[in-house]
Amino acid sequence: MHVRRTLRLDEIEAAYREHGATFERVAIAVTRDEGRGCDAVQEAFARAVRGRRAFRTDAPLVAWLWRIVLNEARRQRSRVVEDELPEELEASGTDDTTAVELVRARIAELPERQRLALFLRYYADLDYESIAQALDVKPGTVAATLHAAHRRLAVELQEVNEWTS
Amino acid sequence: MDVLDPVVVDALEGLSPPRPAPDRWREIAVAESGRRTLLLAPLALAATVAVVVLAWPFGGGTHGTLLERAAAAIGDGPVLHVVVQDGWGGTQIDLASGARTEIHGTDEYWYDPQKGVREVSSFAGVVQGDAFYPPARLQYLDKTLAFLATDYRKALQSGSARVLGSDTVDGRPVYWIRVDTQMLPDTSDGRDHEWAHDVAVAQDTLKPVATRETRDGIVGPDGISHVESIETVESASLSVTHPSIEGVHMRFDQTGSLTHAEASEVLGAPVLTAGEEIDGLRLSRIAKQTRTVGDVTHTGVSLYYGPDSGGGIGTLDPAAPFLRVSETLTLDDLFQRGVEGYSPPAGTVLIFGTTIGVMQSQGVHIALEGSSQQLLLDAARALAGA
Repeated sequence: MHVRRTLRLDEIEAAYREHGATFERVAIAVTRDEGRGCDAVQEAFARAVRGRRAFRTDAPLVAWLWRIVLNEARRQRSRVVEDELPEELEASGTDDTTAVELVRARIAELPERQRLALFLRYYADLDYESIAQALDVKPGTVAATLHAAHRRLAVELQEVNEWTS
Repeated sequence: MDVLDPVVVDALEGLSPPRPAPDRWREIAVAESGRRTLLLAPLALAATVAVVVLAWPFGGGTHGTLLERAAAAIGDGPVLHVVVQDGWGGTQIDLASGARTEIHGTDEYWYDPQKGVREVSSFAGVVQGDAFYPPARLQYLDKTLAFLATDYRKALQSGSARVLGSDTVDGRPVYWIRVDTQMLPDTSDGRDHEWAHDVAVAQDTLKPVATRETRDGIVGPDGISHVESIETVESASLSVTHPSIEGVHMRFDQTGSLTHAEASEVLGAPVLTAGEEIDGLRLSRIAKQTRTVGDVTHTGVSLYYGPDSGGGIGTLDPAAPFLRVSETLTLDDLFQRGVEGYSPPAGTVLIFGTTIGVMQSQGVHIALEGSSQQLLLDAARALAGA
């Protein structure tokens, strides 16, 4: 027998149509692959539809969807064999590597929580509370995590500037 | 938005540039049915109902064809009223004897082709959902059961329905009638499959007694749903009396770390516990729970055994064993999962799936979430005897 939920299909569809582009953008950033990112969102929403009777009502719908999308994107990412990934930038850089490319590589090297928080903050413009719900952490943790990410990127940027100057 | 160095902004923009809104909803919308069939794929071998289109003449004669007589059996009033026993529900377990009783929800439909459909879902007599779908929004109805209200009579009258053959449902001789069939993609394999909805009509009355959904001729995991009643009426109010809380401000918080005394004060009654440890999980935290729907805020407490988070759909690490016991004196839309606004009789626990339960003890409504059904049962027994 099924667990009852209160979500209707049109509620999920509304979230898909309103936030779908943002979901895809974050998923692409997580998977580092456009096709896998879009597939992750597609599969995540399919899972949401399948699980809509089990929707837990102690979290907003969009936060619930973010969790599913992030989990699916992380799953897609973890399934990728390294040699199938798009070519990763070497952190050390080369003569013709731009600062932007080096920073992009540094972002990829951030600890996962920092990276996800950064993506949700930048691409989805979520506030700390929403990010906390999406990542299942406390809002204070989000603030600390983003601060750490920004500080780390600032340090890296300084090094990059020294490298490219 | 935080101030980021332009180089970081450029890096993020390049990593994932802005995108147009995706438009693959139709593929997603069939996912629910896709899962059902996938889960039941092993049952294909055991399927006892072979769907065979029979060619013998079910029609003609002085009383019309079988389809015409089936249409006549439900009357010709403008509004169709259908009550169906749904596939969802819970298992009520007597904590003393262990006796189990399956309790199903019901779905009730009123269909006026001119105005739309009102759908009321109930569990143990308590309304769980009440929605109205105007004609332009009928596609959002869960068709698993709603097709009986929206498509059955039309298919009989138009002649598009097909008689599949004779069978027996709960010992009663029936004819299966295929109401509709569609080729739809399944996101799990990317292929098109034949989805169909069938109605079993009693051979003596020709009134519907059961429905089923099939994919590629295989009955879905919900099995056969039972039709409790079907009739046509002259008119019906399609007004929703239990409006959805969709769009209403909702907030759910669990904060702090309370002592037992503080928890009792917050709850407004002595807090009930399953002991300081249960099944190897220690009581790690008691939190204050606040639930706000619109302008109304309810308070309660949550007791965490094991880690103080985890469990439930969407959490990042649901693997670790855990138990959460939530307690309140007032039921509201945010307190329970599995069911809304209903606690089973004292001395029983109502289990949904394997990880969700609701009960009451000493006037306190209790919602349980745990990593196993055994854990829920052990906790329920401890709480009932607390």
